[in-house]
Amino acid sequence: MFKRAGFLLAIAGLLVSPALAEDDLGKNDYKWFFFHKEGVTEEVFTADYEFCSIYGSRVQPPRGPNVYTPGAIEAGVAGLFGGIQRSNQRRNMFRAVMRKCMAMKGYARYGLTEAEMDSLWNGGWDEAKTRVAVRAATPISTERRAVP
Amino acid sequence: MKLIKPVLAALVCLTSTLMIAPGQAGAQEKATVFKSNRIPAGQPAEHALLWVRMAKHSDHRWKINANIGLGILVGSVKTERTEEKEPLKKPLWPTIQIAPFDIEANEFAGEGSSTKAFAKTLSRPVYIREKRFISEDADYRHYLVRVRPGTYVIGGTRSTCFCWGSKRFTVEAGEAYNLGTYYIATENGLSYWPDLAGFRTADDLTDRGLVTDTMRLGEPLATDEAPGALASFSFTPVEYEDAAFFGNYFGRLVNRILPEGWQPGDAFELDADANDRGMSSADVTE
Repeated sequence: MFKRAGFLLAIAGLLVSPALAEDDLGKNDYKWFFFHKEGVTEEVFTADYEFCSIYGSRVQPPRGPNVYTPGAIEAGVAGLFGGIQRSNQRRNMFRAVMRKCMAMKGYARYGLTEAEMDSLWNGGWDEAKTRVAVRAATPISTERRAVP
Repeated sequence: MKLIKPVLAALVCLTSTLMIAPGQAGAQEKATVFKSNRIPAGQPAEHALLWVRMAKHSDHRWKINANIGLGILVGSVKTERTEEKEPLKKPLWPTIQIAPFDIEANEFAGEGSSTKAFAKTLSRPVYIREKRFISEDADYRHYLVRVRPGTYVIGGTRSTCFCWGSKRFTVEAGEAYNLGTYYIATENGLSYWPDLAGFRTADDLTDRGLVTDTMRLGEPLATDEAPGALASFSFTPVEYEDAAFFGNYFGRLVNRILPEGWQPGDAFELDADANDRGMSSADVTE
């Protein structure tokens, strides 16, 4: 019994630790952000953003090695944590592609607080599209400008 | 039950024969990156040969400081990347993908609007990996690749698709081509080549391992001298053309091959490329 519990803890520890470490990284580097370019129109921003998201949405994190699991329960736990980690990595890859693409298109990146991010993106892309485009086109102070 | 062993043995023999026997199927032979002891005696009549020179990737890494705390109990050790470089025991060499390309569809062959039937007329994507080289100079490794005739594109590296700007070339059967020199660098400031070491991704992405690769193409020249092992072939410099905006079908990070004369700090403008091809940003998404 203890052996099994120890094994489950080890799997959870190994798989969750990169995710925990990652949260620490985001603290001072504007985990939430938006893009802005001087003089851009809302239509051009929307076209640019959708162009970039076509490339970003295709990313697939490379598969890591399989974790050996002696039983069905352990396999389930390993699969669950592995899936969480993989989807986390996929989101990060998407953001990396968007940042690269928008920077190449001449956009700068600006930090947001979590509350600002929630209100900006409330309702998904179709609803948020206009708000995000207006924000991208509106002149802004460079105080929260982040590296691309 | 008695039959299982002989049947299994026969299957193993058959599979081994198919894998080991030299291909006699002419144009059906798969694309190959030759090992140094398997260089063909002469030019294959139904395939094209490609000679690629790959420049050294890097021979240093950023020094990492590990802060061992209680986290070690659950397998978590905090690490911190420093701005100090330390030498690697062995230098790193890059990997590159050369993929069949459908010019009309402007896509990897068989992907997007390109048909699977068309893709079957060409070789599958070839990965030129660091170990299968023919010979090595101080800073370069030479590779020899066999492909079916057709059009191919420099698809990208292990981590990065050059979907936003690459080069394509067309090869004919019975010919040997010089593809020039590929200078591939990870954008983490560690490239062996000073002009590429200036390209650096933001630190937060670097720390997550989300760093793109980039590439500078050293154009092939008629005066390039092939290594001794390839002296029996007569290589023609391949003619490159631009290939831009194909799909990210291998799910990698995305970047482009550096246009000629680009320096670290220069801003890329995808719009400029799109405009060159008669498209605006809005057209690209349609």
